[in-house]
Amino acid sequence: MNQRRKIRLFFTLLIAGVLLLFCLDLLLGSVLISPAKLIRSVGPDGEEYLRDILLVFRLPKALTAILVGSGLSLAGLMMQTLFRNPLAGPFVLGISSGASLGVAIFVMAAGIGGLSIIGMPFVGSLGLVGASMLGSVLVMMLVIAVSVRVNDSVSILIIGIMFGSITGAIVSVLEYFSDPDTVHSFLVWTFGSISGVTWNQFVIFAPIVVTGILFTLFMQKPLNALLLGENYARGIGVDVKRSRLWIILLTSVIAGGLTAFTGPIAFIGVAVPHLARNLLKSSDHRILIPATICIGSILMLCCDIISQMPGSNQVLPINSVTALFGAPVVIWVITRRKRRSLAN
Amino acid sequence: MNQDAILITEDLGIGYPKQGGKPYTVLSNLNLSVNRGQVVCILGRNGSGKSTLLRTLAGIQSALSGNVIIAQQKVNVNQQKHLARLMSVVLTEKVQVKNLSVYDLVSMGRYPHINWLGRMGNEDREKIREALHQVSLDDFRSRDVQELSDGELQRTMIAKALAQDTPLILLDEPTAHLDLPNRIETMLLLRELALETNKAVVLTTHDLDLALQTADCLWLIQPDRGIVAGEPHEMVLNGSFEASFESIKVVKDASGRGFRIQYPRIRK
Repeated sequence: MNQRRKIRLFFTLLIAGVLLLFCLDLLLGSVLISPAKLIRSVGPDGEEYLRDILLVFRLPKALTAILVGSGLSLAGLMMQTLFRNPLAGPFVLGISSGASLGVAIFVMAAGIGGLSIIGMPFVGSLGLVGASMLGSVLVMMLVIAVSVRVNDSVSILIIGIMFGSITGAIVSVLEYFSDPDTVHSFLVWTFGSISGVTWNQFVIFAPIVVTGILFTLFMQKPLNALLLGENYARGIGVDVKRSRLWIILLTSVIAGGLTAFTGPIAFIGVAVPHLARNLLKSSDHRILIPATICIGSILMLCCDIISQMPGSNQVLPINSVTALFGAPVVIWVITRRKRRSLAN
Repeated sequence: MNQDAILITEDLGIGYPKQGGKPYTVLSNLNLSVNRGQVVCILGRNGSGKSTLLRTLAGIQSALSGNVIIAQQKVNVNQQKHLARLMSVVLTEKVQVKNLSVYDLVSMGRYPHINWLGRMGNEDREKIREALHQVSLDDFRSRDVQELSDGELQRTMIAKALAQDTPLILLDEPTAHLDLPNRIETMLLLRELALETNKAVVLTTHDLDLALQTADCLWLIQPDRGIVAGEPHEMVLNGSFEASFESIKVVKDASGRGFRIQYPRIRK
């Protein structure tokens, strides 16, 4: 049972990593806060501005990073198992394209009609969230309606990609007819952002995403069975059609709920499941699900710290950071394993 | 009704439904039965409907007409969990999963018996250990499935079916992709399992020689005539066997008790 002890050690490290990075994410930013100051600021005689920075800005941001990291990674894991395709991710079903179509229509169609949404800050941010939510819900409902009728995972995958292409094309047409300023403000949304999340928004999407994640824990048996292929899964008593519907529903709820508030955050959802599989050397979802949650949180917290560029007033777009710093990590982990297994 | 019968088909019709048109029927009016402890080999040429029949029996695809009855209960394709306690399947699809051990794969056979958490009890672990022992893979439990040879993988899949602890096992071409010694060993293994555990084993195969020697009952799919069922020697003697396969002859083997396939003479 050496393997079991190794896995337990790994999880201890992962959880410690999440806690450590969570604290670091609170301390590091344009204003550097020392741990001593952090503890003092929570007390009654703490400095007002520090408490504001911590409670109003950094705490919702760090919590969002954890939800984004674990939620999108988990959604990616489910899609990769369902479609038995290592390139699948949380957005293969076209959820982020749906969200971006919603936002594009909201930002650019209004612009073409002579209205400047961006000029109205309150309506702007609320409308952005609403539009992106509407877009992802719409695509999600289309995909689910299709998957109820089509009893074939590959067809569902292709149809999801087609939905993505259609919405992408409509967005391009809108971009073509919009003025540069509007296009720019749309582009800023596509970069993704977790620092703009406020408590008011957090209390809306956190319960949705957490519920989705909790329900995913119930899916580990069908997910494991699906590794063997759909026919074998049926053979060991899994209702493939119903499981598939649940997997698609949960992925849509998690990915859609997050994308509405943070924009499309790429890369994490595809990469983290591979990291989990390679680091823990397992395909068992009883291990992979908690591992994906931990590794996703760690990676997203790291990316958030990097994107804040501690000590400076500049902020890098989170989407660039995830791929720029995450991709080499994934390449390193995968090639490291290959080398070791060749040596054996 | 025969009390020993574990599997019965009633006027079963198999094939593929077409949208908005007449379904494509492969075979119809099948009335077959399998007893506990029996090995049944389904024989027929490529495209004759062997796999279609096996998949229909396994509840993977729906019957066009008639019923499949297992352990006195009608099979309903939509009751997977219930079906999985009555029969286990070994298919031709190759399992390709990285980082999955033989033990983990075999333990999936326990899924119909355990709760959603996938927690195994002592009884489950004992069944898995026993299944691995029956296919002589005791020392393979922590081996990665991807590192197995085709023969070992086939035995692992049979162990998974054994761990599922069902009165009926269905196998689709279990000897395909195997070398001759492995084919013989696999068939002997299935034969022994049927004797020892009183399970019924139904399989499709192209190994006519092996089927003649190991099966209790043959289901011969004949072009245009449906399925003829019977004991192997009976099927040879009444000419059904040769009628199902053009270009082969069956002759008495050296001992005079069994049969073997005689191939047409090959000019070199």
